[in-house]
Amino acid sequence: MKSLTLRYSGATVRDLNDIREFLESAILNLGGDENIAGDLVLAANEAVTNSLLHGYGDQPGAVSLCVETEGEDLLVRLLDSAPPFDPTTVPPPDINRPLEERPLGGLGVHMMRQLTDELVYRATDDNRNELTFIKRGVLSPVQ
Amino acid sequence: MEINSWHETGHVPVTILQLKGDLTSEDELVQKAQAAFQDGARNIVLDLSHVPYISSAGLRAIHMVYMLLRSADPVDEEQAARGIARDTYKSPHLKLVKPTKNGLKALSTAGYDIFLDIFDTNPQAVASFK
Repeated sequence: MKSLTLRYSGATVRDLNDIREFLESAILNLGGDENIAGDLVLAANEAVTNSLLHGYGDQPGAVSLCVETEGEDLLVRLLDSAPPFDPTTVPPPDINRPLEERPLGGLGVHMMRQLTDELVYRATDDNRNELTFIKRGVLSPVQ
Repeated sequence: MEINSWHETGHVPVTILQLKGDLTSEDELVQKAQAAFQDGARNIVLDLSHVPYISSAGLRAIHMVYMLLRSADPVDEEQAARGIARDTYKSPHLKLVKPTKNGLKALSTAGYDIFLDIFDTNPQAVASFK
């Protein structure tokens, strides 16, 4: 297993651009292609944004992002210390309804689900939120 | 994010909003579109060719621009009701130009590409307004 980690003790939305750049670079460095990087960056960006804006109430908060390989799978693990929130319990929107009948917003978790093969949430033993974005079978076996 | 705007005339007057940078918040685009709308703009092209990423907040901004233009055209509502039932409806007032690969991914993931025409160039988009 290989991994690359970025940690902030007090991240804000101003750090999102750097976070996206880290994720893209780490994914490419660990053997993912540009398409996989695009999916995971979009998905993780939504989760980090939710954490910073809603979890921490737009105040600086601790955030850790780890890009890992597990065999042929590529994972992005997001850890924060915001109040517990499990996005996998959010009901999916109906994206086939016309735009005027849809509520504004509510697409962040949908993007997280659609752009990954698996989205896993758990509360850690030290009461942090851990959200893992998984792309299955995207790495060469020799990685 | 930087947003440049200018006017072009095809069959009807069209306002081009050219976005540069990640579309990850709604305020700037919505404010720019509202200002254009108050100046009389009823047909808008969003040039997304220089937008590396579109987040859900960016999608919300596009949604708000769509609703803003829609609010000025009651006929569009009737056409939408008929067209949506036949899967043929596209917004007559809002068109998109050349989203990047990741931008298109966000648009299609949200299903926005079903209702919004996407063109390769601004002239093609301008010419499409009737």
